[in-house]
Amino acid sequence: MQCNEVYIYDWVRTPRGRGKRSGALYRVKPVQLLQVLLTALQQRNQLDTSCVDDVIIGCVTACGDQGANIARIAVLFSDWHESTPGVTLNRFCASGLEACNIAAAKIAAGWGEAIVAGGVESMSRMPIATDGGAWYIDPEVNRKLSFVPQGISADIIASLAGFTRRQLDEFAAASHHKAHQASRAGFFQRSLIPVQDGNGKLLLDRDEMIRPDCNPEEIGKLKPSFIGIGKLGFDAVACSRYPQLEKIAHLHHPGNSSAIVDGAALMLLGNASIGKKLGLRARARIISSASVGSEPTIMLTGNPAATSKALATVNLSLKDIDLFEVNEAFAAVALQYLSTTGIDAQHLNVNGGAIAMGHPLGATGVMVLGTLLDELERRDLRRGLATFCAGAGMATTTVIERV
Amino acid sequence: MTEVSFTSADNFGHLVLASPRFEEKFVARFEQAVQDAVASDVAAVIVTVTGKISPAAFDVKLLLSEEVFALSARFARSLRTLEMLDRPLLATLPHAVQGIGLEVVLAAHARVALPEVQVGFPEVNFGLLPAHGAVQRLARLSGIEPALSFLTSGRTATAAMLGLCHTRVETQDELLPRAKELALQLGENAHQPWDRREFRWPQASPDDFTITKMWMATPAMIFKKTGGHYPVYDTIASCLYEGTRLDFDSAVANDLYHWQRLLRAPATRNIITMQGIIRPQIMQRAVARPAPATQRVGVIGAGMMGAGIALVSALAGCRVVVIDREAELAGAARRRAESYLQRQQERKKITAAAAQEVLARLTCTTEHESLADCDMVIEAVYEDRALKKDLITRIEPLLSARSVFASNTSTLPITSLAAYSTRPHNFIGLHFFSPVEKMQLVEIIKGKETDAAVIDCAFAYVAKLQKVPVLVNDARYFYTSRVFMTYLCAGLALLREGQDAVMIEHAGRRAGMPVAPLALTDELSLSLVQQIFAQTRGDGAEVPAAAQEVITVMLEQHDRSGKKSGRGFYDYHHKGKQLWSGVRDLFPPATQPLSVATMAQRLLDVQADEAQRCLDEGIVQNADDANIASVLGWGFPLFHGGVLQYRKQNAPRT
Repeated sequence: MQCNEVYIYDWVRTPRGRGKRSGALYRVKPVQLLQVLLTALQQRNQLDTSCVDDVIIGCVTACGDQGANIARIAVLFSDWHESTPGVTLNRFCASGLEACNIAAAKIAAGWGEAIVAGGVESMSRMPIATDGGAWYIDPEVNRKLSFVPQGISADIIASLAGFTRRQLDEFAAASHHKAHQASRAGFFQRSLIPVQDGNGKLLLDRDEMIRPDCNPEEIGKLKPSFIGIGKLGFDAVACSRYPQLEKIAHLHHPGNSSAIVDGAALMLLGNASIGKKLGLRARARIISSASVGSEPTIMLTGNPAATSKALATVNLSLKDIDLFEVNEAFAAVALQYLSTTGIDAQHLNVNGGAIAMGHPLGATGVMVLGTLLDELERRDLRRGLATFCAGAGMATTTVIERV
Repeated sequence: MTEVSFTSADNFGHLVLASPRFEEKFVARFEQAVQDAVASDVAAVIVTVTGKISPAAFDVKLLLSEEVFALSARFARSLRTLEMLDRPLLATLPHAVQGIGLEVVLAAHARVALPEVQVGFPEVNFGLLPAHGAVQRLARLSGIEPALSFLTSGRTATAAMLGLCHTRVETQDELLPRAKELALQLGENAHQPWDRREFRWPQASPDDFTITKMWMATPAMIFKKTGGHYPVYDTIASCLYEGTRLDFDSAVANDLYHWQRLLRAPATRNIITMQGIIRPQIMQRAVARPAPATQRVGVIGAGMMGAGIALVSALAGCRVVVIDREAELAGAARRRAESYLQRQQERKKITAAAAQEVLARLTCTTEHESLADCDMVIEAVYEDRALKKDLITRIEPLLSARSVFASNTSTLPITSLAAYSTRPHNFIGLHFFSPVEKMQLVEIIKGKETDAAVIDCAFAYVAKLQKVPVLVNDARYFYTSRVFMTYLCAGLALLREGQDAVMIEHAGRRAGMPVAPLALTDELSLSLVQQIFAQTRGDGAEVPAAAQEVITVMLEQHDRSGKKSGRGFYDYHHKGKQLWSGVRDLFPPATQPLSVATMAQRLLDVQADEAQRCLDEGIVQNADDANIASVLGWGFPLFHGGVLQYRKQNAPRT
């Protein structure tokens, strides 16, 4: 079958607000986060929404405010044409990226001309695990899968690789510096949609969590987060899965882990003919994607395999990629990606990542892919690769190429 | 005797369960009583459980048969019929209720108890759970989290603490009137909370985030405690988790499904066979031996072992005389007893009066003559042949002709010590384990000339202490120490092969052994192991070469003697211990690294093979003895049912 080319025409995101009651976006309902973006996307492209074949939204904790297919509901709530359907999906942290990949696959197959892929997560309102799930709340499943929380997984990665606390903290501080510089230089402006309330009052127009003064010495003083739950029993589970470890070195803490935030993002994808019809300029092509499963206890090590799989599909190698984005779920995930792939750290997460700006689970994939595209354009480079590890031992990769 | 009766008087039905025990007869009678209650025209029914508490109130042979499942279903159904009687069902708790009796009490619509009355489900200690709806009732009465912790603890708690108690009364006499009063208040609409439309979960509903977080951590907490070897804990968790998401009747049906799975698991069968068949049999046979009861015990040496033996003897009702060289030394036995009894009082395990009686039975002195009228004299001095010889020859003439002289040696052949005695037929070995008050095994070592009547005496004495006696023939290290050493040596041999030390230690734990082999060697101290090896060689026996080499290298090249010196295979510091970094460089790494599972199997197989040799050589008398001694003596995994049961199920060798 002849595949259609898949183009990225535009993308938008909200700023990321602290994912707590004190956060600037706490009072904004998740459906409003999507409304802000759907409205902006329609307006800035003068989009005839009846031409959009689907809205695919990544959302991890899809219950309560975010339940009952928030994608379709947001479409209707935002006054988009009622003929546009919507669907939510959950590939844990890679949900946003997967939304883009599935939209791309549909367009490539000819089963849609224009599709909006996106993600939303209000972690202040719907904390992680609010949706329960057999994975960890069913004791039989939990035991059989040797479930440990992701923080323990990250500590296993660090223990096995022998990463030091200092290495992790340095990486984390650098993420803040890069994000701060990019933010100050206005690199994010093009795609960032400020969030206002119904009265037009500005709630947030920049990422709330970036700390320009972050340094390894300061965050070096933070207490590791997972010692307590490790002692409770998760360390025993971890060591039974990785018996080469005498004990788990608990090195991750709030400063070198992704921040908990609220936010949403959308990306408009389509084939060539719909772009012409709607008068849109194609910015890049999605040329490949892949998802893999990996060992679920260590959980977060699938990125290199997903990367290889995505590159092999289009006969590319690591050196054909100009910029890399690996989601900074935890500092050890990025360091493990660097040491496994051997890529140059200078080409990785050049504008910082989730440690500095936060990781609104369902939305981050779109934010990272979009930021990558903006940066490829700014630097006038050709290809970029974004990769996300995900819960229960998975990873998803997307490769884009500018046109 | 199990009895169930239903009688009616003054418009009240009285359902009385005397010493309920889970067996066919009980269930049949219970069903009949429930039918009687249904058929009767009483206004309300009052349930009372009477009789002595017995922790293992179930028919083990029944549990091991397929018939149990139908019987359990019948009992669960009957309980449900009872609680849906449409008339008030009250339970009175005049005293402690456990197990099957508590299952019935939970089916009542309300409970009236005295404040201090303890309730418990000791089932978990036998690898079992209350399977007939009690898990679901408890969760719906006390809350999900309290139910989980109570059911998995196996401990008792007051009914009030669990929120099971509608009303407390201060005296026995108030129980029945108060129950009747409550019954009238409940009136005709007496239903269980879970049978009402407006049912609310106590504390937190199954969807509450605190419960989600509890379930996240529960399997890991259980794994840490059990190593994944004791399925009952996981079963309780699953019954609770799954049952709290179902309607009540489906939840009980689901419990019965898990009950079937649990009872078919080899671990459960091994545990209940050991606890419910082998152990009681051994104890019954010991008690049945024709021997005069040991009334007066003499203990020579008030060290760790001597003081412990004196304490357990006094606790068992014997009058005890402890002898040591100096009054101060002898007094150690009293101090030990005092501090033990103090702790037991704090834990409310013994009354102050009873503790005083125990102390009153204990005499500490330097006077050898005080031993004169003892039925049983046990020497527990250092493992020094000359010292023992001196004591035997000096003390024996003071004793009556029929008194038994026992040595608590763990290394010296009994026959060789009996040679110093003028009455070798009255000489025997009694190998207690440390700490004596905790360890439940005693090896009885038969010398060449030991009389059968003396052996009977020893059995009766050990049984009186409520410890498990196992008869062992006189050979080097007897039975337990001999087999136990193979575990330690196998761990050292793996290290010599160049296997990874971290993995060896994980393998020990994976195997289910209480302490990993290298940590264990550190605990014993490498110097002691070296001494044992030297003695073994001195006696002309073979010492495992690999283990010997590891010990020698550690001691002579690295000066690492074990935990006491702070440096052994581990480095010890105030925060804990960590494997010594040099342990990896002791020997070249193995060209074929073994998996943890393979090493774990080897660590168990060497013990199984050695135990089989002991049986073949007649060191132990039979497989039951070998199995129970392995579990109680050196902590061979209970879930395997003991060392030879493991061999039978896992390591068939020729």
